[in-house]
Amino acid sequence: MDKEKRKRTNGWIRAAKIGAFFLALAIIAFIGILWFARPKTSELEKRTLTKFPKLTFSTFWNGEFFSGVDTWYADTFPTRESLISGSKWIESHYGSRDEQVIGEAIIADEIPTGDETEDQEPTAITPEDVVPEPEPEPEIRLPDTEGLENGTVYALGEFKGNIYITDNCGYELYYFTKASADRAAQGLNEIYDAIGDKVEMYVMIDPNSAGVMLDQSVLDSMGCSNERDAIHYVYSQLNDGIHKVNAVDNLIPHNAEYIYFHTDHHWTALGAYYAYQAFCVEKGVMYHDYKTYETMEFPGFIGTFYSYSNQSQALKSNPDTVVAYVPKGTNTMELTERNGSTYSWNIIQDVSGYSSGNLYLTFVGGDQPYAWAHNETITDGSSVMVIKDSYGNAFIPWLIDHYEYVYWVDFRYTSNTVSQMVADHGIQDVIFSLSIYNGTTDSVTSYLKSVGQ
Amino acid sequence: MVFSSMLFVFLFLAANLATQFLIRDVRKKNIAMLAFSLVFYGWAGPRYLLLLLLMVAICWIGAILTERAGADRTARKRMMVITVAACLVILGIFKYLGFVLGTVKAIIGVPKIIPRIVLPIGISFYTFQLISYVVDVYRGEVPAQRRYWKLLLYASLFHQCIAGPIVRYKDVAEDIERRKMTLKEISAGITRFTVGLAKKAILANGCAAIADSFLTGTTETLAKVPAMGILLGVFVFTLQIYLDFSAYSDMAIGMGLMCGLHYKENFDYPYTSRSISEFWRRWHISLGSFFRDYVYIPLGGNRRGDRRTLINLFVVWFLTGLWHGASWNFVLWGLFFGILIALERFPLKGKLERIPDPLRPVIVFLLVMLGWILFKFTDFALLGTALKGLFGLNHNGFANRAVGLAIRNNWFFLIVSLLAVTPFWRDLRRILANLSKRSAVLYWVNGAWEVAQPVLLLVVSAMALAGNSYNPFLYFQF
Repeated sequence: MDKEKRKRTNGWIRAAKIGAFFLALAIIAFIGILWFARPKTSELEKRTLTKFPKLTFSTFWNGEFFSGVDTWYADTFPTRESLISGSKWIESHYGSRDEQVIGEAIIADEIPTGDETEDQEPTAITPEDVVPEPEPEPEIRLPDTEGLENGTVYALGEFKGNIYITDNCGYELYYFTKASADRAAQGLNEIYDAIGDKVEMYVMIDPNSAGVMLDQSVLDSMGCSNERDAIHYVYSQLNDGIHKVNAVDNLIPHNAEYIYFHTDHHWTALGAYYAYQAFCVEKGVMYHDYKTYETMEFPGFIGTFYSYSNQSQALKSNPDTVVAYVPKGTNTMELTERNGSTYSWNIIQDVSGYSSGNLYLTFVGGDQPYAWAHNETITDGSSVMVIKDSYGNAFIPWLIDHYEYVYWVDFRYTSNTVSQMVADHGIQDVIFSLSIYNGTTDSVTSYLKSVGQ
Repeated sequence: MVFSSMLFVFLFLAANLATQFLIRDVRKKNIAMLAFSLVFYGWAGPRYLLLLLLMVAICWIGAILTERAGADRTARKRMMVITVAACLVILGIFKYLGFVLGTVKAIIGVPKIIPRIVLPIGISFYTFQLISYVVDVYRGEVPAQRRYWKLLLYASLFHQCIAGPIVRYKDVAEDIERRKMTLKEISAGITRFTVGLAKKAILANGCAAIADSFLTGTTETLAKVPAMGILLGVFVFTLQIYLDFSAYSDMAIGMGLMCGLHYKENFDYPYTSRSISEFWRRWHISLGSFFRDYVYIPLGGNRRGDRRTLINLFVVWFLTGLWHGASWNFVLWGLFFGILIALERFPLKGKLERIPDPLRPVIVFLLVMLGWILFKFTDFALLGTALKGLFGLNHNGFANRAVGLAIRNNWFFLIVSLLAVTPFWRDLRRILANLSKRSAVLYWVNGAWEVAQPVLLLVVSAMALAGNSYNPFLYFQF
């Protein structure tokens, strides 16, 4: 190519470059002004996106309004989730990401020892472990019921740790703090002082997958705490009259089974089943065999670890399957939403067609302030109230075939006190099903205090 | 508003460039540019805009009066000193009053209450620009600007107003009056801007995430980080601060080129320097040259003997440190470089050449890394913990899984980032351009890349920015 021709061609290349750049800028700018296409919620991050800020003289003068507009514009940009997914795909090529830790370093306290349970190896429960007790005479009351509607809510109150990813599985790392654990135990003891003479009170602290699946050497290398030791420490601080459900020791022997989701911080229904077995042992009743239950399966579940790990591609490409066991006595429940509306719903709901991040909602309609079920196949008036976070959702269905009335409240969303609810419904058993963070930290002490008053 | 935000790139800049391309008359272009610049600056809060307007007014009047003093050298100097002093007093009140009173309180216990004054964004940059303007008028290097709004345009030009480069009035005065936009410069500006945007959105923000995972938190958490973690954190922070700051300058220079405004280079691959003196000739060039021209040389520079040179050096490095922030760690950081440069000038003069050539940039890089630790931590307890940790004195081992995983998870990214602080990509581009002169195929490949690269970088940057609603540049704090 001669010099003159090359010069001309260079000019064309330059013009094409300028044209291409400004076209790309104009297209993205145009997408940005499509106000009607701006999303309001994020499926990936499971949150409501930033709202357009309110303009007042004060927010105008100090610049808060403008920084709010900046955040709103970026947060609700049309196609934002596709852009983020693209960015995460690029990030997945930054290095070898088959194993990673997401989040900043946290310091764990040493867990005080001395409880002899800690020295024992955890063993799986067998039918011989169960010693039945005579059943008490309950009082039966029924709340009102109304029509049905979907009550989808997102709640991640128990999700606070760092995330460790290896072999396409996420794990929420746990860091023990003694002062917080003491406050949690104190809160539970105060509740027992208020209701212990009226009911049997059970406390079940539910370990997460890191505490059950990860080897101690892995936990040590990241400065994490041993969840089993932490749970037994809290149990050692509880009043003697409180029943301590040793779920963790029945889960660890089963850790080769599919008892925790790989992409989500919850346990599976099977994991909850082994906790339920431990509860039955503590209560002295025979548990049912899960193999005798009808199941519903929902494949394609991509849970909370996916969004909390900044959309790890390793997790996205290995979705979970949610398996739910339909209670035999009844699959109907009544729930009250946070806005006070009441509905009939299914204890195990068919969530086919729900988005991939919402399949855990198959269990008891998700996190609701208050719900109950009446199993008409049992007529002894027996009743239980479960005070729970979202770990309890997969656990509650297993109780249905043991009680005539099962009530449950999510303590994060209820304003009723335990003693009031016990009195209102003539409850015999009260079970606190708390995830490891809620059971051993003070982040929910205020909730426990409020429900304990 | 920050350059690396969706709103800036896809609304503000798009609209600004549209006006600059559609308006033909330079005066109208300037009016539009001023309006955009005031909105940009006022975005952080209109109250700061009043201060900017006031400082420009002071310097506008001061420079005109300085010029009017004519041949009366004393009157000229008096007017210049009064104007510069007024600027420094305002800077002192807004940036250093709390720091000075806090230090006095720590020593003698009074005053009891220290006023909390919010630092107006970019005040250090535009104050220095205005000072350079007034001094240049005093020196007769540039005529005083008669129109207030044009001086305001110079000081508030959103390309460089809040994070540099520190542009001298004489360098852009002609462009403000008469400027032409050419395809060649628009094309170069597009490349420069998109490279800067990607450098910030992808590399600098990526480095920040890694560095923060080891270097943030309390003294307790920092003390738990093993030596290798601190070292990795500081290494990545060293990459981050260059990528972040030079990205801002790239974007400023690129946007300027697109509009026919020419700003001088602010960085010249400083991490490949072979001495600390060279590092400072290649790092934040506009700040270094400001202190050289307006402080070091007026103080006598190196012409008044070794003792005076040494004093001048420490004055400059004390001020350089203090300019970066109202905190003793920045002063310490400035003096650290003052000492290193003094060592190079005097006891080590002529001896550095004995160090093998390939080793010299490595030594400079390690010393600069050490300097960034002083820079990073304004809290002396954290600084002490980090320094102890770096040398394994926190007794928590050499490395742990988190450190190993951070390297494993990001090894490719870290290599690309490390290469980005060297002239590697620039040289590779030049080699390809040269080869394409001899091969028709390579010529077309190079041409296609030339067209595609800015679009690719723009889209990839948009992806990276979408998940980061707030990511200010490090140098905004100054």
